[in-house]
Amino acid sequence: MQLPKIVAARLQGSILPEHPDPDLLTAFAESTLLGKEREQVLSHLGACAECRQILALATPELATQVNPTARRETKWSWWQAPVLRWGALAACVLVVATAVLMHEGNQSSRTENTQIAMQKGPAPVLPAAPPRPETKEQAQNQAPPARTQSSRSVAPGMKRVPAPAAGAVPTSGFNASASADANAVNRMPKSETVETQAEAVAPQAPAGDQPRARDSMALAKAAPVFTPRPSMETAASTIGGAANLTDFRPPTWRLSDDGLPERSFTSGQWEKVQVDHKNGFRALAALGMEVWIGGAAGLLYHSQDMGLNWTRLIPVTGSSTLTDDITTIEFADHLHGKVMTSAGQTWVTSDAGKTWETP
Amino acid sequence: MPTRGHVARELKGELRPLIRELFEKSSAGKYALSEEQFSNIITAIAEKYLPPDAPGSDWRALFSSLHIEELVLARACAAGHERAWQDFMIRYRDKLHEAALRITREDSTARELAGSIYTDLYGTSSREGQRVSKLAYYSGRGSLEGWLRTVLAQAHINTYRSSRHTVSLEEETEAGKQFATSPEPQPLPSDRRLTGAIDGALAALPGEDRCILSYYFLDDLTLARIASILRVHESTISRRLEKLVRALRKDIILRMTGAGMSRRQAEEAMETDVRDLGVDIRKQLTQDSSTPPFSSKKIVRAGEGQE
Repeated sequence: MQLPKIVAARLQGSILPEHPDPDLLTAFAESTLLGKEREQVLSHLGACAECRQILALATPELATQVNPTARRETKWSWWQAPVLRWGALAACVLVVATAVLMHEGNQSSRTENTQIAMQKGPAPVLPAAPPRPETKEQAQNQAPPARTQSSRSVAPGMKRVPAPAAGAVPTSGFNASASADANAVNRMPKSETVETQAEAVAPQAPAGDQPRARDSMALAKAAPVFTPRPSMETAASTIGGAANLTDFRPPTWRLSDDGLPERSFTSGQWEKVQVDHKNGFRALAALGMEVWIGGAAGLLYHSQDMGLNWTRLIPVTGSSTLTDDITTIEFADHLHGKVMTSAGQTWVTSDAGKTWETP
Repeated sequence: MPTRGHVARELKGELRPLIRELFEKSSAGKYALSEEQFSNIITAIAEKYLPPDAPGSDWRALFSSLHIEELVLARACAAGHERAWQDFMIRYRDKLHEAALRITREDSTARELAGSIYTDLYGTSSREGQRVSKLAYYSGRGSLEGWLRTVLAQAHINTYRSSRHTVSLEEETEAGKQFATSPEPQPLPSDRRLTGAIDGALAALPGEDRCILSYYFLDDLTLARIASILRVHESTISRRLEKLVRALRKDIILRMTGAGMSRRQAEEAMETDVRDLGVDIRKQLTQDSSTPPFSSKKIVRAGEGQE
């Protein structure tokens, strides 16, 4: 990825408006700025190297520390060397072939020691897998390149639970994802429904938890996600305008012209809500604090807290995944709902989007 | 026409139940802060951040989003309340040092930085005979811990800048700097169609896209670091960056062809060495950019005034 040098040079030259104060920068870093204020800070950051620097220094790192000057130095692992990779593959093929030949040879020769050979059993077939990594870094480098559920992010602040054994049915819970091992889905007993893959989107972690989150990032690849259901009080107090809970009423929702969800706590006052930096949504359903939105190519998100946090839902049944455009979403209650697609399909859930059926 | 103060007073009456509820939640009484004082503090904050014609719902939303307990603690410290200082030190002393260490990556420098912040937080300068504490500028929009980290980062950058003037010649030479600065080169005339197209395309970018581009291409931050700053996944930044660069390039070429260049000319112009153009990169690098050297001007945040 290259940006022409002339473009990078012009990117620097800007007239800077007034710097945002540390409060605004902090609120931005903690994702508590909404709408216009967030846009203003972002616009300023795009032009102001000083504020970008302050924000970068002040924001705790969630992932492993990387030297910024070494950005373009590719992390090297011995396993990345093509010769070794292909060599290991060739060795595996050789072992398998030898085992098969030996097995066939034993069967055809029918020598006196056949029985002894049979007792030993066929030579084990070794999987074509890389050697066991010695460090976490190697483990990360050896992770399969394909984007599977196990490689999806688990954002900081989210509670992690141990991954279930392969093939086990995942535990219940609204946002519990399927097993970390994507193959586990295939190994499950065949049934009409399978677990929905879920991806958490930009939850807000308390600042104090972030260093711990750094360590747990390494576990993200193998752990299912569980988001505790937020209380109405938490959501209301975070969103604001609802401190008196007896008077609290959930917002009204609509989709803007550019396909962004908009909510309104008071009539006539609409504010756009960002969902994983995506737009172009076509369908929306809201029920109390619960909101679902859908769009092109099966894009489906769910919020349990009036749009503060969003969880990506990827409905799957059997071998098929919902990839058509979502045109309509209907939920009778927070458990039972259906999603209709441009291809005329209807996907139904009766457990809040955890599993789906296509009747 | 009603004045801003008038509107604030009207709203204050309307919001009285909410203010009372927040006051009770805030433990302000612990630091001898009256409800009236508390009300004045949060009203001033709302007036600072909200537009003059903001409706009552915006006021309510802002009030409810404030870190009230931390705000009260900070303001009580700023007012010199002894128990508040004790609470502050118990809660934030270690965090401050940890944050300073994370920023400076060196223990003695971290202690020095944290020490200088304590001085600012306690307030040594005086205005109209009164001690001015930096904590009086905390408004509770973000957490107090986050605010302290931001203030530390800002102080670190300012210290770095001021220390640049006292760096020894040996250190400068070791750092690869020249003994004397050569006179600034005169910019060469550049094709206005090219610079105009680039500026137009960059100006059309949303703030967040520009921010991501700047972090990656100007500040040399990793994708992971940008992702942690913007609280999104690394792959989101990666995908977005790739898309952005493609779209930006396309937009610039489109603008140049629109200005009368052929497509080939436009593509060639994009690859022109910047040194051949009238873009004063040296000046812009030392003024705005990012990773060392920092600019020598001290950062003064909005609303803080000169210190």
